[in-house]
Amino acid sequence: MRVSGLRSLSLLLLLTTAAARAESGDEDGRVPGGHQLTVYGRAGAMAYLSDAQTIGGVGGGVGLRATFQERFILQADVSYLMGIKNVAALRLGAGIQRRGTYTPAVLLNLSALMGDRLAFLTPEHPTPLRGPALALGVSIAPLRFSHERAQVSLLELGVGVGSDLPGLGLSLQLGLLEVGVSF
Amino acid sequence: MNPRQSPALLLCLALLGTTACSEKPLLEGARMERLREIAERVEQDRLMGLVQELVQAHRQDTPVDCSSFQDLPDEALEALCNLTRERAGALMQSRLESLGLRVQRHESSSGPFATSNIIAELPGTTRPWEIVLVGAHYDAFHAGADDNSTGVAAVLELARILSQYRFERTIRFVGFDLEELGLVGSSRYVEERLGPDEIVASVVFDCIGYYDSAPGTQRSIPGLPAPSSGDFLAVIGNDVSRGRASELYALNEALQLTKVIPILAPADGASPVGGNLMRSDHTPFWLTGHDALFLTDTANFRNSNYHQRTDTLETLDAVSFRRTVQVSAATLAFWAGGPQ
Repeated sequence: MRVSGLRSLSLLLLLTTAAARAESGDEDGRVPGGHQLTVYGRAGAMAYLSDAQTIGGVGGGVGLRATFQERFILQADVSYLMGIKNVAALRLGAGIQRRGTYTPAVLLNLSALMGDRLAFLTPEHPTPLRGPALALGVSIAPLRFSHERAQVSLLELGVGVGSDLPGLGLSLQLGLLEVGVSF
Repeated sequence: MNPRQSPALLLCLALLGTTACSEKPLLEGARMERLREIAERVEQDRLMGLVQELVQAHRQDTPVDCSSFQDLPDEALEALCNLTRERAGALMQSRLESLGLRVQRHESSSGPFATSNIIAELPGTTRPWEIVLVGAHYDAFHAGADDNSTGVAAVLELARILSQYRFERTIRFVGFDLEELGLVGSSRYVEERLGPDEIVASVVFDCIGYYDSAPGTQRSIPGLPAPSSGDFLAVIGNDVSRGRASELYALNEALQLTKVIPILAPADGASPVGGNLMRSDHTPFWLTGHDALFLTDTANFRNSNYHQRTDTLETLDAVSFRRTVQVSAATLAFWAGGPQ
């Protein structure tokens, strides 16, 4: 079910971008006022901390980003994280970036961490939690640059909040390096 | 049955295949009054008396030969040259024998140090081949009041109480040798004496007598949400033992015995951040797929006397120590299928 959800999202991104591209007749992939599709790889750390669980780790992944009018961003990525055994992370983001070569960005993120975790039993959760740890948050990428078809981001900081139902959790994200190629 | 009369049944049918409707109640079959009775038989003065005798045994003993450790830093050498075990082991054996239990020594010399684990059994009545194990290491640095005379005293007090009842499963009481030199005795026990499906549940005690309710007395590691006061019992499990941890937690909640924080590591427990959760004799059980819980006051994350000459009887909290043994007594009795 998770895999099919991811496939649907990727397909939606592809179709949206393809439709926009067809409309604008863009050949180069980066036309002011047009749109752009970027495949990126990223490395960093993510964690979700609450009274009932700690899940996350350090690792990397790949993603797909659609940029509209050089300003608006819609993206999805998946990562594999190590630290507490094996964790998969799925992030969906929407945000805005500065135009030009220096392109810092701010995004609203929905993240899901799945897999191995440290679990803590509490009166609210007397048995270990299962299922993904979901969180909604914001992230900023202050050192982000674009040049022709290349995009590089050296730092991304994110914070968010999630729920163990009941109970709140804190989501933290640290991106160390992201490299993307547009087409 | 008419489904229209049972919305819960319809809901369960609708969710067939999910866990919500299929999970058994945690304490199914538990006879709470009998378990409470067993817990109430734990005697605080007897426990502290046992710790005192074990501390005395360590103080009067001759330390193991530490000449092969001379390359270690002074602090580590100071502890290693004050590691004792013979008299505490003899005391543990004699107390178990005095209860009428069948006691054996598991001798092994497959490595640089010979070890002698102490094994006593209370045979089960209907499923004697299924083992519920409770163990603690009996070697100690210096006087070793918290580490680990408290653990050994707990095993002896549990043996005294539980041997007055009969259970479906066999309860095995074990004293592990040379934990302080790298889980030597427990590793050999698991490798040489344990069958693949023998253990249905097990508990290992290591440092269970030091508690402090003052704020700021508990330290932790990133990712572990410990309270600031060191007044709780940590129950550490892994994926295999998560069900047992939930049962212990539920029993404690039902009997309102002590403050318990269960921490469950994923898979077999081994991970880059899990090293501090694998520092005692439960680890060889985990690494071979056996069910094991580790009960601890968190040792050096709370107790500044850890592995020091100052690890003495006076530093222990007798009331909290007794409560820890009480929740262990009720839990072991439940797991063993009884009392009958």
